[in-house]
Amino acid sequence: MEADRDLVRKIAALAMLELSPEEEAEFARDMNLIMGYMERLSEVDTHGIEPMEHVLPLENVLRPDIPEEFSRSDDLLKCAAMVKDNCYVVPSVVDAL
Amino acid sequence: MSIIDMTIKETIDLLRRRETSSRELTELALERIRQENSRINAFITVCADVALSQAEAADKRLGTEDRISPLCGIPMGIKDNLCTRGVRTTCASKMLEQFIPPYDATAVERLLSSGSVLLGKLNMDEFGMGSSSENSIFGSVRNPWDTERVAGGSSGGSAAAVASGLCSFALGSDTGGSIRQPASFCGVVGLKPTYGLVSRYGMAAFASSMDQIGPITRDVTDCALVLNGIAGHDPRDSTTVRGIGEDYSHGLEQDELQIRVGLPKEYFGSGLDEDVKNAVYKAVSMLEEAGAVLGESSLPTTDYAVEAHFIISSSEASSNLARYDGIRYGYQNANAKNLEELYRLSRGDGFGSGVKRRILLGTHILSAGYRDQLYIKALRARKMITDDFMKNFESFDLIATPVYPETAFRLGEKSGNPLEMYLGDIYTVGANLAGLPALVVPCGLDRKGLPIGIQLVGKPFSEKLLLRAGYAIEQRVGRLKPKTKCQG
Repeated sequence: MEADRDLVRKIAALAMLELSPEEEAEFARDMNLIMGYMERLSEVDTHGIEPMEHVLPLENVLRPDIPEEFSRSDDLLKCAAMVKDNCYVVPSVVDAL
Repeated sequence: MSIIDMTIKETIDLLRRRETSSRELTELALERIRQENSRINAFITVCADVALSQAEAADKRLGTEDRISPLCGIPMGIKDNLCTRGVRTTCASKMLEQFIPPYDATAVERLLSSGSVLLGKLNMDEFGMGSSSENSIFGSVRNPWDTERVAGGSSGGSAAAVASGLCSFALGSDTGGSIRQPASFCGVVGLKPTYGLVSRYGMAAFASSMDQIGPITRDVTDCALVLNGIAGHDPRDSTTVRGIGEDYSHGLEQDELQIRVGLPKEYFGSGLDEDVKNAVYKAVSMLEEAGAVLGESSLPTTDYAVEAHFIISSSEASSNLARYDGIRYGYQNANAKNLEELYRLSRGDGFGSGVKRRILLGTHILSAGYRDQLYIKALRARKMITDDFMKNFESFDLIATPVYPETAFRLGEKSGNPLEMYLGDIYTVGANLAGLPALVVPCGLDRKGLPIGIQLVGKPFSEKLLLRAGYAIEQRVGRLKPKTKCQG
C-alpha cells in the first residue's frame, strides 16, 4: 500500500476527522512507515486458523428486560455543549424550504 | 519515613490502632501533592474537598464498624480514563477536558464503598494511546527517579504518583502494557488482571477486547488487597466472569514455590538491554531459590505479536472513538454550519495527533478491500499467539520475561517516531491478545540507577500464583524507592 494525501483525505472523511494540510502530509508519512511495517503480518501462514475476536468463549446472555427509572437525566444533559427544552441542540439537518 | 510512604498493609495497622487517621493521611498526601506535583505532573485534577470529606467518613467507619475493608481510609489516585462521579474525567484529551461524569466506574465505585479516599485523577497518554505519558494536553508525566525521563505509559501518572508517595495506591488500565511498563519504569508493582476479572464499566474504551483495569501499588501485598477490592462479576459489564471469589492476599507469604517457570527465548534475544536482562535473570534465580524449577520455553509467535496487536487495537479504537460526536458530551466546535461539519470539526479539534493517527489507521484497516487482508488476518494471528501461550502452560505454571527492552527513556527521545514507540511493547502485548494475567514486580536497578521490573505471565485466573511468585521475588529484592524533594 502506498499512502498519499488523497488516501488520507478519503479515510479522514470516513472517520469524520477534519485535518489540516500539514496533518494530511504528516499522517501520509506515518501511514507509509507504520503500515509498511505492520503489513509484515501478511507473510505469516494462517491457513486453517479461525479468526479469534475475543479471548472469552462468548455467547449471548440475556437478562430479563426490567425497566428501571433513571432520575438523573439533568446530570446527563449537563454534559452536553448545547441543550434546549431537555433536548440536545444540533445544527439543522434538513434544509429549510 | 512518613506514613504516606508506607504500604497499605503497614497503614492499616496504624489506622486500626488509631495511631493515625484517614484525615491525617489524606492531609499528608495532599501536602505531598502540593510540593511534588509540579515536578512530576502525575495529577491532572486534585479534589481536596471531596477527599477530606471522604476521609472523615472513613474515620467514622474505622471507629465504629468491626468488619471493615483493609482499604478503608486509604488515599488513592485514579487514572483519568476511569469515570468518577462529579470529578472531571478528561482522558488527558481536549475532547473531554470539561467532562464531569454523572456516574462512577464500577472499579472506582467498589473502592469508594470500601472507604478508600479519592485524592484526584492521574495523568496519562490521551485515551490510553501511548507508552510514555507524553501525549497529554496537560503535559508529560516525569519519572520520579529522573525527571528528565518518561514515567512510561499510558498509566504513567498512576505509576509516578505511587512511586513518589503522592497516593498510597492507584488504578491504571492496560491494553498493551499500559500498567506494566510504567510500573517497571517507576519501580512499583503493577498487575494486568485476566480479561474479564475486573469490570470495565465506566472506563473510556480504547480496545474493548483487550482493555483491563488493574492496581498499581508499592508492593505485592497491596496489589492483592486492591485486586480484592475491584475484582468480580458486574452485571454492567457482560464480559466479567462469575464465580471467582478469591482472597488474593491470603497465603502470599508461603515461600515454598513448587512451580515450573518458563523463560521464553524470544524474549531474551537481541534488542534487550544487558542490565535489564541480567536483573530479570537474577530475579528468576530467586524463584529457583524458593523452589521453582526453571526451563527454557519458546513463543515463536512473538515475532508478529506487535503487528497483530496494533492492527486489532487500532481497529477497535476507530470504532470505540466514533462515539465522540461533540453533541451529548465532550468538546464541541461552535462554528459548524451543519451536522456533518459539527462532527468533523469537533473531532478534528478535540483529538490529539496520536489519537487521530490511531483512528485513521484503524479506519483504513477496516475499510473495504483491507478488512480481510489486515483485520481478519490479525485475528487469525491472535489465535496462533494465544495457542502458543497455552501450549507453554502445558509445561510451565508461569512465564517470566522482561517488561520492556530498556529502562525509562528520555523525554522526547521517541516522541517523533510512533513506529519505534509501538515496537517497544513487544514483551507486553501478548498478555492482552491472549487475555492472560501479568504481574510486574521491581527486581533491580540498571547502572544509571533506574528501576527494572520482571513480568510474570500466567494462565487465565492464576493471579494468586503470580502474586505468590512476585512476593517471593520482592522479599529477596526489597523495596526500591526514589528520593523525593521533601524527604531530602
